[in-house]
Amino acid sequence: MELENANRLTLRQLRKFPDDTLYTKENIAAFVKLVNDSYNSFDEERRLNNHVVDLSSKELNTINEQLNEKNEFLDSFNHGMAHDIKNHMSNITGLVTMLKKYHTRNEKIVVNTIIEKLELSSNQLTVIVQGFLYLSRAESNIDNQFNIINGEEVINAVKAETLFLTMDRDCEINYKFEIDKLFFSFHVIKIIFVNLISNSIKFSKKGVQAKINVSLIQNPESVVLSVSDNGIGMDLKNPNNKIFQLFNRTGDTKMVKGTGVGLFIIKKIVERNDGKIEVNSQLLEGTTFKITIPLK
Amino acid sequence: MNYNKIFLIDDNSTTLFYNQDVVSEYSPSSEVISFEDPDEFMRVYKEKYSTEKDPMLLLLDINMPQKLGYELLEELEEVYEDLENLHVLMVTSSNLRNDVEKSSRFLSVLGYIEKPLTVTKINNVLNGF
Repeated sequence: MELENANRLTLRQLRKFPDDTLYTKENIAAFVKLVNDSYNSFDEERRLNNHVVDLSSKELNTINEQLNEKNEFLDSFNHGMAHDIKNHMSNITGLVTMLKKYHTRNEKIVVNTIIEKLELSSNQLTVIVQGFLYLSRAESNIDNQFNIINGEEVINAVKAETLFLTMDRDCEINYKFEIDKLFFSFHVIKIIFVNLISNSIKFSKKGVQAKINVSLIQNPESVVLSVSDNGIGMDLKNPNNKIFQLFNRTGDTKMVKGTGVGLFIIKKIVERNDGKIEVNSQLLEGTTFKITIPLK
Repeated sequence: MNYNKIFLIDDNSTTLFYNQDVVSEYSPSSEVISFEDPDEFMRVYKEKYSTEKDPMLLLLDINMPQKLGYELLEELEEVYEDLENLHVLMVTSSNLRNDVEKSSRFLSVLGYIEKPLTVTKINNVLNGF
């Protein structure tokens, strides 16, 4: 019925043209088929178009989600950074005012105390800024430059960056690297070890030699980084122990120099590399962090 | 107003060291008592100072890992209905506007000071500038 009506419509259109010999049944049928086909292909195209729109909106959604996540991160990052840096800046500004006052009065003992505190504050500020530099690196992708890892180089870099912590502490750090032509990011390994070892030193028991075992093991499909210590440990069952949260410095951590950035950086890096983090800890016994990252 | 006792609460020991000096200069005759831990303040306040008749001044840091400044105020208000003798100055390093909104409902809060603390800033707030 539809086709017949279409035929009739077509005929009426064709009659506007004078050449009657063209109006055979076959020609008309062929013409109608042509119209039909182009309609069908138009339909198909529209369907494809819709599909593409659908896909790109899904893609947009994903990108949007990623952006939101990034925004949230930047928000808490900014807030924490503003607070941390401003606190130290205020301390330094205040201490300088104090220094002037007591210097004029020639009170040497107070002046010396102020200088010590100034030194401590500026050191802490340096560590914070360094942490943020790491963090911005962890957020961008420049850490994903892969190379054949040289174990010696890693150990030297880690030693250099933890020196200010190990200097005045009794600690023994053992390295066990089982790697053979490991193709991986030097920065990722270094940042993870520096931060974990720093934590182990910071949370070591007072008056006891800190023993820290660091290992880097290469498996056929993954690389395992682990750091274990005999430190003060933590109660992982305590819901307040949000150890991977940015700027989280609750409980005992407040007595320790730090920024609350380290584990957050590690978590970000490990997440981006599809790895996983395992933590084992017991109060007064020690802590073990084990990080597994798949090899691509 | 002359305070016999001035309390300082800040989780950062360097800040406390500096703030003590400023407060002693602001009011040389006052006894200055410092706390790194807000819970420790609660304990000591309960034990020794809650029945004090003369007004006392508290300089309270807003952002502490253990507890936020206004959370401590909430706890204080829960325990003591009448906090007329405890005058509070909020000391902050963060964006003031946000902190003002969160703490303004506490009657004991006299004002806000942005770090670093100075004698002039204390005077300005307490004299109503």
